[in-house]
Amino acid sequence: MPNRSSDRPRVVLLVLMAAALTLLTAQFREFLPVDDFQQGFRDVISPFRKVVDRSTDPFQTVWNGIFNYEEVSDENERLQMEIARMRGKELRDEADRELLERLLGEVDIDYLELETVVARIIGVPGGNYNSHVVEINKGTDDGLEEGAGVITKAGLVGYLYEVDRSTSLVRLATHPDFRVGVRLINSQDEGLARGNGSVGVLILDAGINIDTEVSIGEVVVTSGGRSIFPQDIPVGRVNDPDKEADYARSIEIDLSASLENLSFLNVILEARENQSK
Amino acid sequence: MNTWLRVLTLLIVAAILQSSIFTEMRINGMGVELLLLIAILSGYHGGPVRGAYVSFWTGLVNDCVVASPLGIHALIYPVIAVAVSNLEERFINEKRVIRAFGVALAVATGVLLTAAVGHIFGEKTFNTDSLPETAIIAAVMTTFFSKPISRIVNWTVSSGMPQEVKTRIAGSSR
Repeated sequence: MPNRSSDRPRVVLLVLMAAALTLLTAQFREFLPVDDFQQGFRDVISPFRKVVDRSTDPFQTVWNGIFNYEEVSDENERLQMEIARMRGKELRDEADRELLERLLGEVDIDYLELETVVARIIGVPGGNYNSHVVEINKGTDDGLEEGAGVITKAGLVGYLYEVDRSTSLVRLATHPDFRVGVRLINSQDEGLARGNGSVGVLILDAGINIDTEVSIGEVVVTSGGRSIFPQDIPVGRVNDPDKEADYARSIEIDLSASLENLSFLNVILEARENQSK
Repeated sequence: MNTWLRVLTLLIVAAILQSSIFTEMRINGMGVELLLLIAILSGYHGGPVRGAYVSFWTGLVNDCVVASPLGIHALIYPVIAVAVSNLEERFINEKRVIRAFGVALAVATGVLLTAAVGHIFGEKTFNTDSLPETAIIAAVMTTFFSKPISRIVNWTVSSGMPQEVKTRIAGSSR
């Protein structure tokens, strides 16, 4: 005869696991109330979060001083080197900028004219599984929508994948689930680039012919079309054209925007309208 | 106060802390798994059934906080809570350091299991090269907070449960 008291936890466990799987299925089938529940919960706790964040600021500063001292020190060093590099190589930068402007001018690019909202990065989401995602301080109250492209003056950064009332999550271009249609400026060939989890790199491995002439340093921009990004946003430069590929080509692109050192971002408004332009 | 009202309050406070101060407190990019700790301790103090229910809701709250697909953490946390509850009798009389090791082991297992389930459901950032490092650092950091959290979880989930009765068997060393 089965022991009822030892069976009950198993039954409860099975019921709860079935409930969790049902919720997961609903989420993957984009059943809206599930999304709304998550967003609603985050909206409810958001004001309290801000209060706790502000009140624990001194503690967080001390923590960062102790455990991230090396990082802060490295950052300082990096910034000093950056200043020196910018001063010392101003002429080369100027030449590069002129080249970029000339190249972009040839295809009538004016991505800086896009209507955007400036947002500040407030951190990363909680938990240990959200690499390549940052949180910004603007949400639906500021007119942002899910899927909107995110850029800086240097170029493509990512897109909004969760938008709450006052905050949003940006999936960075290096995220393994990130995809963007791109165009090579010289050959005008279009393909699909993806993040692969590596810092500052996109991989272009779909859509480019094996015999297309691709040179190191070639400028890559978004192709627009059915993409969520408007066309002609600078993506980066070709770092490795993979000329020796026999079958499938895997072109490495260095992103023009430095995703590790972001503070402010521009979120493109009315992505759908821009897309159709 | 009603048990479920206590649980609701605990989960909301934990969600606020997890998404604010515990998001900033990171070592090498890895942080405390406060909600996983609550799930583990609810199994330890609340028994398998109550622990499973509490940890299910804890998992749902975590899914909301970290913006992962709703159900991933809720699928794993009850399993961890029931497993901890079944092992509880073996650990209850052990030294503090052994119990702390047990908590760390449960946290690391929870992190690895969540990563595995996330990977199965196509979440590519769940299973990365740094996963073992994440599990170890998260386990150590989370265990550091287990003592105070344990008291709170005990107060929250044990209400209405039969009090512990200490028995002594003649000739027993304990």
